[in-house]
Amino acid sequence: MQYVGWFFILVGATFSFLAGLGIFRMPDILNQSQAGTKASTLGILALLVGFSFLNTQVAPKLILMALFFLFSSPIASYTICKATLRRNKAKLLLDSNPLLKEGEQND
Amino acid sequence: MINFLFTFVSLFLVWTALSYPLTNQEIIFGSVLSFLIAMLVQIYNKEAKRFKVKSLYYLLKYFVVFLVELIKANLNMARIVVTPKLPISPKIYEVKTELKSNMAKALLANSITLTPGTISVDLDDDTIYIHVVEGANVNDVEGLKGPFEKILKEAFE
Repeated sequence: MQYVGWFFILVGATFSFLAGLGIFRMPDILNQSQAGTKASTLGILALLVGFSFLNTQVAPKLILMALFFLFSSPIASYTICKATLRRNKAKLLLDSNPLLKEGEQND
Repeated sequence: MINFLFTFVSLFLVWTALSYPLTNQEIIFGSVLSFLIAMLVQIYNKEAKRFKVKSLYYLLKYFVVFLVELIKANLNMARIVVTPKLPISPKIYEVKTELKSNMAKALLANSITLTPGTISVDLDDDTIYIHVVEGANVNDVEGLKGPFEKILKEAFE
């Protein structure tokens, strides 16, 4: 039981680290939120599952938190992306591959 | 009646999860509270669609497919992030959806965000703008929606 919990926590920590690395390495906001949203969602999910294995008293609360996180984190990324798009929508949609060509103007 | 029952059961489940080591007192208080809230919802929300048991099955199926896709998406993203050359070629695609209800559209956009390599950046009536991180590899734009549209259509319509 304990080892399963620690295993999940390790997985969660790894994915959270990858999310941070992704945000650091990606060139512009849309790609950063690609990396950030996905990896951090699974990372936090795995962390919460791991904690609920370690302490079964609070497991139902943690599962509720995980469900809430599953729905709220895509919405957050959607809002960030929409704001970015609003800022330079014409540019992003007209050119077929605009983000790599003029990366420095998209921050 | 089935709407009332569904509201009552889901409210009571959330209450149980929040106050988990249950005492008798808490069970009684929670069920009374859930009953009252379910009554109020029943009175004030008359035009709500009738809840179907079938859609519960499809929502469960959606959840399982969703978790599998989430794990695939993470492995894919981990591969991209760790590769030293950073193999990305971002592009934005437009995709039409057939879903009608707002809830279903929101869920579809959410699940596109968490599937491999794609993220939904804007939702305009029935058009979803999808940002793809490896845009050079996309052959089939409809395929970006993944398996979710069919399941959600069954669940909500």
